[in-house]
Amino acid sequence: MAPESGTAVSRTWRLRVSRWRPGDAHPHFDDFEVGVGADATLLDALRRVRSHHDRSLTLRYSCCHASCGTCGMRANGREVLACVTRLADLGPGPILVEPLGNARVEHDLVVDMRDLYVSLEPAGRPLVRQDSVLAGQDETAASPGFFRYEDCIECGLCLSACPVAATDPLYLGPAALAAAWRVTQEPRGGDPEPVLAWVDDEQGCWRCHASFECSEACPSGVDPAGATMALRRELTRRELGRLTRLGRRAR
Amino acid sequence: MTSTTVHTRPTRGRVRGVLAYANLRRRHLGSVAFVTNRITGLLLVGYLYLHLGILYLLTEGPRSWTTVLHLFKNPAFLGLESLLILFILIHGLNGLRLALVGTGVGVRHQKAWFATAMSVSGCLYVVVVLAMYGVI
Ligand code: SF4
Ligand code: SF4
Ligand code: FES
Repeated sequence: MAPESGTAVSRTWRLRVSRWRPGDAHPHFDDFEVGVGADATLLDALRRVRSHHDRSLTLRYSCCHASCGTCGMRANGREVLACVTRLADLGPGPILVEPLGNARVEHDLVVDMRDLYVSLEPAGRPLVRQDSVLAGQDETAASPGFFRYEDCIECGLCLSACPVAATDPLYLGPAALAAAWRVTQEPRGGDPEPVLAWVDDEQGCWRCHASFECSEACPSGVDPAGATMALRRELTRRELGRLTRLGRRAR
Repeated sequence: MTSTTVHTRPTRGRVRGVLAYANLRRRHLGSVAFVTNRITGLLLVGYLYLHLGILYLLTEGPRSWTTVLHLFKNPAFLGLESLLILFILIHGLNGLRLALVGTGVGVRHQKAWFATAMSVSGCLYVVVVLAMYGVI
């Protein structure tokens, strides 16, 4: 059969894919051998599995070019966007394919993303890069709720990689903290105070253990760990300022 | 501001949680740094209890004093003591890195900070060991 995508040169890859469907006691792995182009992506291979080997394999994707953030998963233990991850970069195989971590699995490679989406709400939206809005045009009014936080594609890779989120389901998580810092950094007429109060919490920016895995995982250059540290710096600066003022008043 | 988070994230059992927290499989230098700090911290706490136990022996009178001094001069014990110094150096310098990075100082250089902290710890450790065994 002709390769699904990539160059004309077809290669056989071995995928070991995590499977779980509601009702199963535990996830298990299924092995597939798929022939796709040498230049193919992990998503190409998984779509090949679906179309030629097992139609019940459940996965989520949409844009196929690292924009929608829906195809996040783990390949060989690392968080990736399947649509832009070349099989050749994942080694000779078998390539271990698992759903994102720190999220409830819905079916095979699909996880429940509600926690991530909802955690971004208090940071406020819409947030559009100033220079992307044409003069006199209210782009956000035209697409209410579409834009949220410029570079972040809400893929959840950061949350999956975070060791604190692995132990504490209440932790706000890197994506929400990054969004909070963005709002603080550039409030654009809004009030960043409630957002700062929201993250100034034991489950907020102070819960982070500075492992920087979120920034390593982020495919969109958001640097959530840097944002979290910046929030702490800002909160520390404010607290020191407050203490200094109190000290002056006491003198 | 209240969060409207729905909390669908799975809750792990304590053991699985700790394993996930300290899992270094396919992780990066930042995780190595943060797990190192936890491990050295725990070792230092363990050593503190050992130390208190040994000090307790001193309350037994002059004979135990001599025993304790012999123990302190034992090369194996010296080795343990040198490890204590190593853990203190690693934990202290990495802790300094964490304190700086954790308040937004030099965040972009966190890996270089860690490499520096480990290199300085290593060099100081060698000096301490040489001094302990009377080489310098
Ligand atoms: S830096 Fe903080 S938020 Fe990012 S992965 Fe590590 S613990 Fe999680
Ligand atoms: S911060 Fe990065 S990794 Fe996290 S959801 Fe946004 S784009 Fe994805
Ligand atoms: S399919 Fe849209 S980011 Fe991969």
